[in-house]
Amino acid sequence: MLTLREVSKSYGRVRAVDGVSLRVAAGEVVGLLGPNGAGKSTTVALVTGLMRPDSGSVTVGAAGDPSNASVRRAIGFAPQELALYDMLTATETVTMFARLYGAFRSRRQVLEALDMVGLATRADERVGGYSGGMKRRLNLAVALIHEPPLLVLDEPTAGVDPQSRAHVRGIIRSRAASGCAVLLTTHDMEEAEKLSDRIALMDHGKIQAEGTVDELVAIHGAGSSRVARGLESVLLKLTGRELRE
Amino acid sequence: MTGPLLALVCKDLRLLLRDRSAFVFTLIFPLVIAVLFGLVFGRLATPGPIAVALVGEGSGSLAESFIAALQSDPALQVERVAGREEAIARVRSGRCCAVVIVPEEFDRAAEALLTGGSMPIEVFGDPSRAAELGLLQGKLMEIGFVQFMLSVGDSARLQRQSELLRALPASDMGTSEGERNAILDLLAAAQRLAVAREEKAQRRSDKQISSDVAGAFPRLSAFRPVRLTQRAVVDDPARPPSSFAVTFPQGVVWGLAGCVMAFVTSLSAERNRGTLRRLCAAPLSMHTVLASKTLACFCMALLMQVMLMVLAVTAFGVRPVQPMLLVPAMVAIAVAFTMVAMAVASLFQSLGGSEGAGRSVILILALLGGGSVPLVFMPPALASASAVSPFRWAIAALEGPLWRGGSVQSQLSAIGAVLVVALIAAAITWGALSLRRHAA
Repeated sequence: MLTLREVSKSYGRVRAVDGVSLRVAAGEVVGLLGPNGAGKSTTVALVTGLMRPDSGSVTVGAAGDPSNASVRRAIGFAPQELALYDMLTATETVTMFARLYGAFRSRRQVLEALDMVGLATRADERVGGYSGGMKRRLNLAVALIHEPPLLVLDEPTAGVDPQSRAHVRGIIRSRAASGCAVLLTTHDMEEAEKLSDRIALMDHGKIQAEGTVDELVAIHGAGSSRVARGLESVLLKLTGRELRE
Repeated sequence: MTGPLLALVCKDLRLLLRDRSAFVFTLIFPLVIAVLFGLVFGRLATPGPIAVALVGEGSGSLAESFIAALQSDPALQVERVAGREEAIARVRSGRCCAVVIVPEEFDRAAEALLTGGSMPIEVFGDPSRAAELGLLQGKLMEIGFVQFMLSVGDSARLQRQSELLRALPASDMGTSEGERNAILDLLAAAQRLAVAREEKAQRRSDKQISSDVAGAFPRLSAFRPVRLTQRAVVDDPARPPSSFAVTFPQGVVWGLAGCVMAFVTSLSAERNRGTLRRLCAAPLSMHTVLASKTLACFCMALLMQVMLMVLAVTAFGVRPVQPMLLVPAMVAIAVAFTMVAMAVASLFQSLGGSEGAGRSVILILALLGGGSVPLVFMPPALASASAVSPFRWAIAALEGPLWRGGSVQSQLSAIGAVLVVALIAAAITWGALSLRRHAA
């Protein structure tokens, strides 16, 4: 569903993404992990068509380059920041984004989408009055409303309570089960382990290691019995303990 | 593409109408300005009587006559008070603009008018009300003149004038003996005429004749050396423009400023919040996102103008002299200020920059363009400087069809000037964006 081939992107002299190749198949969840400044956000921007690569190619499904507006119709994007309008209600927000993606949804369909993220009872309240967890769930509902074959989720559970986190993870799993390809970035090792079929560890703009959690722990792990701790130790081993900006 | 575009326009209009500060600055504040300034200017255009505190220290017939004339003048609202201190306190408190004192020696001095005397009047004025003091001074001179005319029509007063004149040596008058005799002869002739008129009136036993009309020269109190006729420069003199015809375009200026700022800050806020990034990740071009913003700004600018004009006509008695020309003027203004908004947004992209520098620039241009002080009241240098403000051209384009009138060609020229503003703003936008692209 998503293929990156030798993709590079620089900001001036800084090479943010350096020859990254990655593939996400339909129904697969790929976790993109790495420290701050590793190049994850730039990779997400390249995948969602917000940036164009200096070299290499990004292909979404059979359609092609996501810098083409029509290709972006196939992508559901939940950015890290809660990019929502506080003065709109949840219903208005979801309806508007559905229209932007060319998907005209009835009120019933919109309420169903909100019900899926547990917001149907407060669908007509303004988003400004929502808690962080509710906004995060609405953020996901907006990404899902046009039923895209590719989901790009940039830290979808950052700063939310355990209940909301569990709910969001359940939705991601169900979408993947229904054939949706998911590219997920996160700093939460437990989340990566629980959700991802494969993990790509990124640093200095490059994919440092790629594989299932078990494969990564087996090859790069420090011998820990706990998988999540093992994944964290793999990350620290591959990217170092030096603090990042 | 129209579906997403309309969805974005609806979203922007919803956000604007739900944002209390933007709503107030775009729709409520302009209305308040228009109504408030209209009431103030309306009062200035048709001023009420000048409030004056009067202290009548003189008790003679001439002083009483002068005081009666003051009190009966419709241009003055005279309040008689007992003493000077009390009267001055009224001026200090702002209740009166001046104190007029008719002193004790008034009659004695007024009777010696032909021998070098004059009517003594003291005025203590509020220096901050210079215009009203000027009017009061004119009124006092006018009443003094009428009192003089009355005195030369009264046989008894003429008799006293003659006696005073005879008692005075010619050298003290600055005339020769011959000239003094000629004046005395003139006074004697006037006195005879006055006596004859008084006897005639007595014979008729005309109870209706007032004291001044009973004199030698009838209707002296109505005598005015200058008769002033004042008219407003409008097409229809029977229907002078209301002050609201002047202040509603001023309200439009503030509404436009509100629209521009709402547009600029909403674009910056979208950048800041990350929603712009999210919109750009949708299957839309950046041009569509910007087009939706400009269309929303245009709709808001037009809606605000229509609302103000409808209110001006229906509730404030404004009668546009060329209503059909109002439509292209309002559309051109909405286009121009949408372009101005884009120019400001392209110059100040950060939220802080747009809210600080952008707002300051718009505020200065609005003030300079006649947003608070109408162009007609501006000093010449400031009025010339206002040419750099796009708001000035918006006011000019609205005032023509609203109340100034004039040829269609001149109205179209004003609309053309507004469109030139749009072109300049578009050029600034293009230049700023090109520079940023180059720098990136």
